[in-house]
Amino acid sequence: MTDFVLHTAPFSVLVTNRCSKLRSALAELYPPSILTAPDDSIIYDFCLDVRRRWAGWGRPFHVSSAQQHFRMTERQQLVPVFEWGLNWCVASYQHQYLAIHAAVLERGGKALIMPAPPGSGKSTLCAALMQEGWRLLSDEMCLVDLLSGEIVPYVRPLSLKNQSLKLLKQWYPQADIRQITTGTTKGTVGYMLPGVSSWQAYRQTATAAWVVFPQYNASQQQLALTCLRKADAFMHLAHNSFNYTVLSARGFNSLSTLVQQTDSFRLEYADIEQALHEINQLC
Amino acid sequence: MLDFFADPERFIQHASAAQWTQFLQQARQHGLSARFYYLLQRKGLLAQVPQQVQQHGLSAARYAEKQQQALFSELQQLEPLFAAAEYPCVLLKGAAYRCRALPVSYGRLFADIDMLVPAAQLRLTRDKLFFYGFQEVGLSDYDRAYYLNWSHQNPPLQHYQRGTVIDLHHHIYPTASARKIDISPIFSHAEAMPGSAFKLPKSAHLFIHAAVHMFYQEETHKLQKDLIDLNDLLLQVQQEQQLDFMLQQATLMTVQSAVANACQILAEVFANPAAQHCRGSMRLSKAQPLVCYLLLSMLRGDGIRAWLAQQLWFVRGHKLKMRWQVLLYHTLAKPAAAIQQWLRRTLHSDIKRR
Repeated sequence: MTDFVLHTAPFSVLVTNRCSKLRSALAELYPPSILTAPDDSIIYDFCLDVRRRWAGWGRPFHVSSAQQHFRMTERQQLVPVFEWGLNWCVASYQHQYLAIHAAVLERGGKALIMPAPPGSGKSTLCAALMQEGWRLLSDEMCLVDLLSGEIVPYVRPLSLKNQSLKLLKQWYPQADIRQITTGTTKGTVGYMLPGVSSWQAYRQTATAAWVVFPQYNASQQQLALTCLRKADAFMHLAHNSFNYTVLSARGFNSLSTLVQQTDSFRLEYADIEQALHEINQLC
Repeated sequence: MLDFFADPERFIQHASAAQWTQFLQQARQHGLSARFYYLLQRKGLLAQVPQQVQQHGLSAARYAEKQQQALFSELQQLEPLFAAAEYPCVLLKGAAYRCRALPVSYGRLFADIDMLVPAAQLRLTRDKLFFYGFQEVGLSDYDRAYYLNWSHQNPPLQHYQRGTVIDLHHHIYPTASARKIDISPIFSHAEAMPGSAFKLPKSAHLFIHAAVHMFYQEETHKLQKDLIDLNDLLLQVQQEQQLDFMLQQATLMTVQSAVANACQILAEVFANPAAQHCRGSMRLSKAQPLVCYLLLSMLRGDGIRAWLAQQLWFVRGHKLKMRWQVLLYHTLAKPAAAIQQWLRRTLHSDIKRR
């Protein structure tokens, strides 16, 4: 057994595991203060079980939590499947927050929220902004505290796919991208390490100030930044939320407050430099 | 998990961090996270458990709350159908617990809405539900035939948009069984829900149904949750002073052994006072020691003992559910049907490739 723990916040996870490969791979992605040995005096939010089991002719790794099976995988794809497994745990049991499928970054205590469905270039833009000095709160999940309305960070390595990987390496040759895995169900996946400031302030909340719905569009001649009406912004955010409908009135109130306190835009772009420039001007 | 539900105060006093980690896991596994939250709230113990545990309970409680709102919204949609019907429609299990606002329903998750209509009106109700958007989905021909001929319900009906599932029953126990349970008392004692066309069984019948479900079938994947349900239901029966009525009904419906076993287990695991009272009653037959032993082995035993008990429980459950002729046919025909379907699929894709 090589059990280990990820002390990420607000959710920690205890990993039960019989293969040292996963731990050493994750050690490339998480700092030593976050990835540690289990401590009996701490309560862990989730437990993930990663172990080889017979299935058909082979013995793939099974990733599961609380006897619920998530996915099987071969050794080469263990890291992305583990990361997705962790997302799956969190996505199902986080109704203490309003959770929106969005990247969140912070500068000067103010948060920029970028909600978008997959394929809209959200992660690419998020990674580029992080390289430009923004603090990463999350590239996947915007957690809104239902009482204070503050945005709660959930810092994890930033997941990049396919074309996005190539572009970021090209734009930022010094960027630290690790654990690149080819042939997954989502194509090639790699992880960009969050900046030092992100890990240092991994529990520090931020106040939502801007909501930008990004849309990458290669045929776009000129960058277009459109101001969104509050009602439209509300509906788009609700649509991108994991649990808006579960939270009923609480979800409505929380999202209303969020929309009231922020300015919302739609950003259509083809050129990343223009997009970065525009966001820097805006925020 | 059962230790917590048997005596939450004691559990809280002694639980270590590692035990809480395990507790959160098991609560999710058995769908009991919202249940533990409401129990702590009801007993005024919330402040005494770690913040993290409270938060996860709260998260689950919000989900459960939403599910219960969704239940009422579904029932409202179906109200006109049953208001126009000239036969009773009785809600069962989770839906009934919730509509009667019983403590057992606080934070209890459910996957479907269970309804009971007289056998003669099953087809008619199913056909009417079709025009409310509910239809059977994704069943093999064999499984469908199994449901219709030998089980106590129609194949699950799913709403084409909302995904809600209705289990439409005509009985509480498979008709293929040699055991004949008389369910007419459930209908005759059912009470109207104020303002609604749906009817609700008495607590005594809800308990009897849950006991039958646990002791005359083979399912074991929700054992802990089912047992906690039984415990809460029996306390409710006692509170409504229906214990004697319940025992009398168990005799009438010929389900004494299920009730006796349930009382035996509840007395042993939860020290349930109502169960202890019933166990001493002259009206109730003796519990079956082997059956109780198997159940306790599944609950408490580890490794091989629990596994063996589970296998025996599986065989026993099937034997009870089906007369031996049916069981023999089912044992041979089910795999045969699966092979036939596989062959048909393989051949079909072969032809397509060519």
